[in-house]
Parts: sequence; structure tokens; C-alpha cells
Amino acid sequence: MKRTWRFWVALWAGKIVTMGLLIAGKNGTTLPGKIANWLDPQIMRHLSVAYTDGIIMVTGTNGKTTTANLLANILREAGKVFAFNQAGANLVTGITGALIQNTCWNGTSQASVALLEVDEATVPKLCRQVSPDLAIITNFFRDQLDRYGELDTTVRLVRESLPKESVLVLNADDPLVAQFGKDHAEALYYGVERTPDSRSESQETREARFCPICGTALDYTLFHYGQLGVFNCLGCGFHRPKPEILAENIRPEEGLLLFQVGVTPFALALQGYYNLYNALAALTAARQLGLDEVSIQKGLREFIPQAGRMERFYLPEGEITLTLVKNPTGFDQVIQTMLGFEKPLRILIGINDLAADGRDISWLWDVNFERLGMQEERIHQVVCAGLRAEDMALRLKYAGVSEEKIVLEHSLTEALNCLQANRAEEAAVFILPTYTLLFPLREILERHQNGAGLSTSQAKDRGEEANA
Amino acid sequence: MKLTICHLYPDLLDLYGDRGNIMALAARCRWRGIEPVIQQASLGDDLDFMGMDILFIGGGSDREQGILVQDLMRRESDLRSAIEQGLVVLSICGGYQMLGKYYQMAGGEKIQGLGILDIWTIAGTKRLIGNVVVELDEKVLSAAKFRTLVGFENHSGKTYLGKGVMPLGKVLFGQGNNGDDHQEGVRFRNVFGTYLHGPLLPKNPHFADLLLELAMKRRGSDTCLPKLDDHLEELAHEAMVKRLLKHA
Repeated sequence: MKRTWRFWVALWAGKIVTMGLLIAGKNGTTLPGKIANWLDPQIMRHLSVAYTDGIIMVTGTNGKTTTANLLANILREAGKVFAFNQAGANLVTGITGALIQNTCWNGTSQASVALLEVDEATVPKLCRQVSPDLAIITNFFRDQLDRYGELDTTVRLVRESLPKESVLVLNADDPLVAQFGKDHAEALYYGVERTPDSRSESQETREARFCPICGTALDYTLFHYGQLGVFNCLGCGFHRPKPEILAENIRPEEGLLLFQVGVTPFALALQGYYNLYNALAALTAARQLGLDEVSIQKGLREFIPQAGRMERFYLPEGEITLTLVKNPTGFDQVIQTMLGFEKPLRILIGINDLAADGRDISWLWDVNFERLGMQEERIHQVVCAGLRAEDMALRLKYAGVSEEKIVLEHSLTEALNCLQANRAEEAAVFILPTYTLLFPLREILERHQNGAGLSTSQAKDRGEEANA
Repeated sequence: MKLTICHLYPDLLDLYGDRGNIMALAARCRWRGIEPVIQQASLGDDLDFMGMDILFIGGGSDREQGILVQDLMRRESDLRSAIEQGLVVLSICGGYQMLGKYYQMAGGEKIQGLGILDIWTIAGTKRLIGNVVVELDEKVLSAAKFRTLVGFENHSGKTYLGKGVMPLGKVLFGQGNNGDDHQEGVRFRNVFGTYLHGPLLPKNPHFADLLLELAMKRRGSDTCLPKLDDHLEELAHEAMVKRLLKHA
């Protein structure tokens, strides 16, 4: 399609605004994208033709950012130059802005590949203009405000909008994702054989485990978490596809997750089995792109987590892990990971209910905090902070955490002091905030870490990014 | 002493932490030495409405509700006579609408409800969503520490009450039944309906206890429920009342 005068006006306006933001010390992509889309609603289509080696899309409910960042790390290891909407700006405006940043004034691109993290609801809008060569789908879960109906709609819209010629990279263990392969010529599946926490009975009852094709209740021989597992529909025969990339021999070790695909061993610099799926999605895509195994191994092992995704800080009183919580499945996984440490736990949970967090905090009652209650003796303290500190405290009371261990503290600084005071040497300390509390907490932690002069040496020892 | 609490269609109607209500009822029984028996009943299961003490029906999406109305319709007369005899029912959002006469869709088409409550619902054009504070009617609950209910609503159906029923109370913050008449919820005999979805009872312990008391009374026990340490419950309740009514 021929580029019109509108395109050039939009591109240059976008680039000028990007420059303006840079001069002002900001690195935003949303505003330039917004202006450019207003000037030329077809701009994504015109920008996308510059990527001759292909466009990779990552979408799904959880793990988009981590999966995209893992794949980016592998691409970097392999020496590829690529466009990337790294800031997590995964709506039309942010994606456009990132592509503009990567496009020269004359309309060519510095990179031949684009890696795009795309919000599920944005997939239809994106695919009207851009045809992804590779589409990675992580999982589909009910998010904070989702109703089943809305999730169904999202899944259907994504399914209908994906171009037939896109190669799909699909989570074989999630029936909602695996169904995408049924009407697609080329689909690659990734999955896990079993994790140390996989069970033949599920303790979680809330996810609808019905066949996405015929509605019959699915029969599972193994549950990994949520609706992920080895499923089979007795109604229509739909079953978990055989994964091309299957993770076996999975075990956590010293902050890493070790696993094997075929004969190749991998180490992932992240915890939590949900992150293993993110790694497998990135790995499958990387192999499809023809990247070499050494780069893939290195990219996964030396990955630096995103802000607030199992991010570690080194303070004088000891190490703290910061991780964002935003929906029941994600929170359940964090609880599982915390309990997996087999150490006494000190936890700060910060719950806000501003627009970016989700105004409705009812989802806290869908989180399986009872697992903390059942191992009450290992919990030294839970500090509840944020606008909904009281609701969080009440939820923990019902989960069986005794009230003496629950502290209410609205000030973040005080909450953190409380968490660190009297901490035992061997305790594992976690901070779990919702979105709008993540960055204020992160700032406080960085200040403490840098103030203690521990950032560079200790962080580097662990292969972490020094927060210099 | 035992109390039987039935969670109807937990596999289909389980939105927004509905299970918090069952957890609150069960815990408040247990803390008083009453043994809660929790039943979970799904499509087609046998239901003995007379034998249960509290029936809980939560909210679901439209797709599921259609199937459920049919399933409930088969049991309509059993449910109706149990309610006549004082069965305690808490129904929320979709469950609340289903007990009424009908739900009128945007196109004018009417989906029949069970017709147990003299209420009807009309599809609205905008979603009524956000935090809610309701001042409870004295006839619903008078001698309690709190005169308010706090919760969160998210519905597009607008429900109107007929002559045979009374509202739970007056909306002090939020939209309530329909956003027009400042009423929220319904009470008819021991049936309570509300749009305050999800975990309503944990933060409204006085309301939870009202349901328990009514259930005990129906079983012929007129002993008062022993007081509990509701320190955290009260803090959570008061925090929202303070925060929301400041802006009202």
C-alpha cells in the first residue's frame, strides 16, 4: 500500500513530539502515538511494512511483558536489532509510538524485526492494519474486572482477528489458548510435563474448566495451575495438543528455575512456574526465528526482571523481593512461590483501588490466601498497606492468619520499617503491591539500597541489574 | 447445633469473590460453636430447600443466567414454599434479578424470572459501577452497631420494586437498584436481594448476623447470637464509610 501525505505528516509530527519529550527528559511513546494516529489512522499499516524480517506479537492475560522481555533478551544475545514497545505501552498509541521511534525521518527502519507486546483487547485493532508473522499467546485468565462473558468475548475477538497466515505460538496446557490451533494452518505448542506442584486434583475451583469448543466439563489428568494442565474433552474429543517444546525435569534451585527441553538444559533467572511458561513461549518463538541455542540459553539465564516482577533489592537488613499483584491467578502463583522458599515469611501487601489498580477489590476473596493460613506457623508478619489495607487485613483473618501477626500501616515508609524491624536472618521478605503502589515502593527500596552502597557489588554477584 | 448453607451454582455463578459470603457465614457460625454445613449445588442436582437454612445465589454473566433460570424454574414451587416458611435467601446481582418477574432486554424482549419477588429489571444503557454505601431501613435492621452496608456494584440492569416488597435501604453513595429512586436491594420475608456483589458479608458483619439469626429463628431457636471480636470487620467497614461519605 502506498504511503500517503498523511503518513508523512503523522510520522514527522510523531517524531517531533518524541524529540520534544526526550528534550524534556521523558521517554514517552503514548503521546506521539496518539498524535500520529489522529493524523493518519492507518499509520500502523504504513509503519509495519518497514519490518522486512517480520513482526512478532505477544498477547494473553498474564506474562505478556515478561515473555516479550525474555524474547527481547534472546534477540539481543543473538545480535539482532529490533523495534520493541518495551515500556509495556501495549495499546494502539503506545505501539505506534514505539514504531515511530524506530522509524527514520525518511520512513525506513533501523530494525528489520518488530517485537510487539499487545493488550488482548487491542489485538483486533492491531490486526486490521498489521499482520503478525508470529503470534505468541500466553494464557487467558479472568482479570480483576472480567466477567466470564467478557473473557469469552476477548478470546473470540482475538481468535477471529488473527490472520490465517500468522504462525501461532500457543500454550498447549491452557485450553483457552490451545483451541486457537484448531482452525489455524501453522501452530507451535509449548507446555510442561509436570512441575513439582502439579496435582492430579485441583484445589482451585473458581476457573471455569469447560471445553471452549463444546462446553462439556473438561477431564484433567494433571493440573499445573488455574485451568492449565493436561486436559481432555469427553464431549468433542478436544484435548491438550502434544507440545513441540516440552519442559521436563523442572526444579527450582537458588533463585533459578532449571528445566530441560529434549536434551538441552536451561536455567531461567526467574521464579514461579508461570514464568516457566513465559520462558517456554519465548524459547519456542526464538527457535522458530532460527536463533541459535546458545543465545537462547544465555538470554534466559541472564535475564534481568522488569520492575516489580520478582525484582530483588539488597538492603542492610537483608534481601527483599518486590512483585506486582493484580489478579487472583497471579497472586496465587506468588503465594505458591513464597511458600516454596521453605523459610519463615515476612510479607508486605499493599492494596490500592485507584483506576490503574482496578476499583473493585472483590478479587482478593478469590485469592487462595488459605494456603498462607494453613502454614500459619511460617508466617512471622504480614503488614497491610494501601487504601484498602483494612480489607486486606480482614481477608487474611478469614484465611486463618492470626490477628497478632497482621499489622495495619497506611504509610509506606512506616510499613517498610515495620517489615524490616525484628526480621530474622533467615526470613524471606516479600513486598506485594498493586500497580499504583509499585513505583512509590520501588523508589523507597532503591533509595535504601543505594544509600547502603550495596547495589553494585551484591546485585552484580547475582546477575542482577545494579540500580545505578 | 448445625446450620446448612447452600451455595447454588458455585461453578457457574461465581463472580467477584462471591465465595467470601459463604466464608463469612461459615466462619461466624464456627466462631460461635455452631457447625456450618456447606452444600454446593449445581445444575440438575437434587435440592432440598426445606432442609437448608440459608440459600446463597451469586452473580453470573448473561450467558449462564439463561441456563440457570430454566433449571431453577423446575424447582420454583419447592423454593416458593420454603420461602413462605421462612427460608433465608441471599441473592446477589444476577441471582437477585432471577428471583424477580422478568428481565427486559434492550430490544424489548422479556426473559421470565421466577416471579418470587415483586421486582422487575430493565436493561440500562450505562453500567452502574462503583463503591456503594447504603443506609439500612430500620425495618430491615435496627439494633446493630452499623446502620450502613458498604460494597461494590457493577450492573447494567435497572431493578424496580413493586408494592409487595421493601428495599434494604437508601443509597447514600453510589447508584443502587436503578440509579433513579435511591433505593438499594430488596427484602421480602427472609429473602434478601442486592447489587452489592462479591464479598458483601465479611465487611458487613451485622448483616451477616441478621441472616444467621433469622435462620436460627426458623429452626425454633430464639437464643441471641454471642458477640464476636469484629475489630477488623469494623475497621474495614468504617474506612469505606468515612472515605465515601466525605465526598458525597
